[in-house]
Amino acid sequence: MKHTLISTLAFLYGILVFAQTPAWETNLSPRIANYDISVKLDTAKKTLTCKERLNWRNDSPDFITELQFHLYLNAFKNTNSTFLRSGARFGRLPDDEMGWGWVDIVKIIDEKGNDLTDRIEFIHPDDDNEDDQTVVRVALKEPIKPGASANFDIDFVSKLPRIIARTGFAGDHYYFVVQWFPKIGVYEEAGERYSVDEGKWNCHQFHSNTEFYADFGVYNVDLTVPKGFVVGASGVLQNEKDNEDGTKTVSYRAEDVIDFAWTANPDFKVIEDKWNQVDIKLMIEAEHEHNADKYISSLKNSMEYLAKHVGDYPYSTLTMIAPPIYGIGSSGMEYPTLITTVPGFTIHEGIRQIETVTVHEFVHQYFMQMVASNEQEEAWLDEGFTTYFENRIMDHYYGEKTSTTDVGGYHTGDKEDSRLRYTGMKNPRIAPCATPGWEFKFGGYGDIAYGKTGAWLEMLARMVGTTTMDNIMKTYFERWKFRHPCGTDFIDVVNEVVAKEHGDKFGDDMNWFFDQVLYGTQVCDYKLASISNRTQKEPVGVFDKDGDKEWAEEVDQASEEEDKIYESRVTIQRLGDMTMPQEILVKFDNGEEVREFWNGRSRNYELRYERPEKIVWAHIDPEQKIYMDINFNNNSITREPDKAPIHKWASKVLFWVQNVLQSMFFFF
Amino acid sequence: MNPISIFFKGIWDTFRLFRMWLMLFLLIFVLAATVAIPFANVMQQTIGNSLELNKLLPEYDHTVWSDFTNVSGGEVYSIFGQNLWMAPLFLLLYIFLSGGMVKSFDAIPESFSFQRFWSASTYYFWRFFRLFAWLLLFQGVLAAVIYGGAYWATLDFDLSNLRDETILFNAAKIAIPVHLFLATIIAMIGDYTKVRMVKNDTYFVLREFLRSTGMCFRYFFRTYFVYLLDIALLVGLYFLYLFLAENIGMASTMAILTMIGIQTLTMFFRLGTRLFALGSANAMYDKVAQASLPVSEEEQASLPVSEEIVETTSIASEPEPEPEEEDFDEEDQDFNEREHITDWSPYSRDGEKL
Ligand SMILES: [Zn+2]
Repeated sequence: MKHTLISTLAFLYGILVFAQTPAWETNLSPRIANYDISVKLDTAKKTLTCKERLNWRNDSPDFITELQFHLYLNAFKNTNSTFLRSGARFGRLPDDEMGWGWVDIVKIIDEKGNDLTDRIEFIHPDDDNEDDQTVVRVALKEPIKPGASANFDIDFVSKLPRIIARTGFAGDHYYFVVQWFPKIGVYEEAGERYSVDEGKWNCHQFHSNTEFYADFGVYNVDLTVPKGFVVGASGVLQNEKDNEDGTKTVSYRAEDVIDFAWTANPDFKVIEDKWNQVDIKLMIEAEHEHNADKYISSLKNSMEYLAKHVGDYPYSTLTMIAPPIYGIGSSGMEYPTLITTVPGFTIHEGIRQIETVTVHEFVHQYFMQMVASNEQEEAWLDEGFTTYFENRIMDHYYGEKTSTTDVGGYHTGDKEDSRLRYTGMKNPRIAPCATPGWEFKFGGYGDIAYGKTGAWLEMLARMVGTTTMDNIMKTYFERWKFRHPCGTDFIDVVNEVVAKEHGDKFGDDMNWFFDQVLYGTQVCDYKLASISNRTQKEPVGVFDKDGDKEWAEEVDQASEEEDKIYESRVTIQRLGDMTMPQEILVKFDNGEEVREFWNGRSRNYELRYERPEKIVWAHIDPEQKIYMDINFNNNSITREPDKAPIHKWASKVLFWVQNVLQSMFFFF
Repeated sequence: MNPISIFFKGIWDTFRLFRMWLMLFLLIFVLAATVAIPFANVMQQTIGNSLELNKLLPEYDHTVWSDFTNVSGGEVYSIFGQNLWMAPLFLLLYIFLSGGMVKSFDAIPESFSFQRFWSASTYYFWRFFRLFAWLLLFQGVLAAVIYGGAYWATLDFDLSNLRDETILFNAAKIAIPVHLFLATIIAMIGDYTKVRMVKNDTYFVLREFLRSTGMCFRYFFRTYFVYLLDIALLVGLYFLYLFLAENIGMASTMAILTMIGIQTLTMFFRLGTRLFALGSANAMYDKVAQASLPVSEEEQASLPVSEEIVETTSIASEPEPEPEEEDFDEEDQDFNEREHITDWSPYSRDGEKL
């Protein structure tokens, strides 16, 4: 009987769980952290007075006894914060009190009315900085059971800093408000991502390089601002009503997102457009309006490209902020369904900064927002993937060698820029890609997380082919959208798709690849060291023949040109410590090209031919598949070099230096 | 005193000093070659046999270029770094040679003499150097006043006051032309000062500069028009160069050779425009001094008599130093003994009042 009761309860529980599952499957995301926030902006004090109701669901099998929150505005409270101690350069420190920012939790009450305010405690999980106030722990009076939801009412005041690290106010009336509210951390259960043994909170302090890791949820936010302000925010505008005190309240709802950002500025004009089901809003000041098309067309290009090569953008809005020049500190950042690009002035049509930044920030809607990896721990999954697709999109729409700059014969492509960002590093071994953002204490974060990851993803694509690469990215996106993948989840997808499409062509798996490019600091540099063609000679010396010694002397074969056989050699050196499979193309003087394959592992390698033709040139990796090779110029040697390019560039230098010298006396 | 004919006289006189022109050009060319040749050598040694080099022929290739500079950047930049010290040294050399240049123009119709050129270079160096220092100061103050003024007018010396960058672009649209206009006037007066100092063998730079300023402003439309024609010639030269460069390209050996020829001619004529301006200043000064221009009664009356006295006393109290050079030829003796021309219009070189 008892047994039956347990079975019945288990069955009912099963139904309950089953009934719950579709509840979030009908939504895009699991909706774990949901917020209703009402905000009142005080434009004189630069403060936000807010009430937040947090609804949080314990999706883990653990009893939750404490909550952890990000209070990221406290990074700008004083120079004791970990953020400002890191020495990150965000311009001058404020020289007045108004310039600093902070956030105070005034009160926190659980749904049973227990006041938890006294239980708030600052913690610093990433370092030993006891003065950092960017993360708090709140011990609960009653634990939250597995599967249960809990509500908390939080009163808080945020003082906005003068814009730093994108957030704050600039001038008299431009507000860009991000990382502004107490945002709950992510509780990772055992086995989720790297939280192998036991469940725990993942709630990092605010560091200067990275900032995102949060659970999905629904945000209902009421923003009360002076009437004349034009407001933009994550999500969808619900309604706007005027208040009697000269303010208005604008309500937004953002579903299935990991964060909420907003902006207000009376000078903004809103330019609306549409791409498929997406309502596009560009918020821009009048002086930049003439460049609106650059923002909108590059955004649409990104939407089109990612829909084709990665997956759908499922939201109904995308708001783009073109900050005014004095708010330039808020440029180039991604938030759910809201991005900021750059102020819209153009010096030259060929300098495509607006397009590059717009594309980059939109790609983050996929890698950061929908595929919500942990930016702080694994920035390469976020910034690296974004750089990779930014490169592809820019080069696709604006030309492979001209996408970022195309001015008076000088031109650069976005993809090559990313590679050069890495290959041009003084110390490309500074840290592996898989290093957490805050551990890049000695520089190199951007070059590694963006540049190097972009380069090795491109290398992977060139090795396995673009179709396979697209399938990798589509599979990864489909499998991990609205979830929290980690690096090994991506590697698993690569191994799976590559095995499916290429069998064991690249070995049992691709782990050897990731060991080097992701977890290692190896540098790739192959050099075609020499080519030689020697007339093959009959052996000379003393030989035994019929019991006698016979001397064979060297025969001059010059007269027998037609019968000549050459012993030709190509030698290759591996200068770097990274090993990658290589193809070598050898061209003979009869026009024939021979392609050879080499596993690339030994330090030196030689190809040897006995043919009536001489080698004209040899080229290792002629298609530049091994995109991380730090020097493509030493990958080939030709016996018939054309001197014209040297003459051309030397003459340019000659001309340029004469111009400089003659300019010296222009005014004298 | 037709400015057009003065302009052409400047050009014509420069052609008469072709040997000087060529010598100055070759000097600049050789200095530039000391950068270009090592650069070519580095390029040859590092990527001379690479197939990637071919990508630099039709156009610029950012990957090839950057891979090259990543490997050989140290060498390349140290070669370019030569410019950093070469440029001021060259400027000093230019100041040194200016005396020879102006003297050679002054000596026309006599044919160009290297001896005269070098001795005048030496003879005038110190005063021309001081003139350069004054010009540098004036140009610096001018630039500071104009751009500082623009910064003050637009942003009150505080970048954080910037609300709309178009104000900066608009300010630049005004400030840059105004600056160029005034800077070229100062440069032009500098040329006339050099001419004055050579012709009169005077020593007091600032006084000569002020007198030249007086002259230039008195005949402003003529002097500046001629100067502007020389600048227009320079601008036209660059337009022509860019047009040819655009259409010829540098994608084949033949095109490269053609362009090297065009670049060389461009540089030769660019130097030419500088000499044309000096030649025109020389010719204009002569015309003014010889008063081929009728001077009105009012203009004569307006000439300050006291200035004459002051000038005479000042010359008397501070006698010109004797030239240190012993090897002046007859021409130099002649020019040293020549009477000082104390003003620009009412007197001929003979001191006869016109
Ligand atoms: Zn990014």
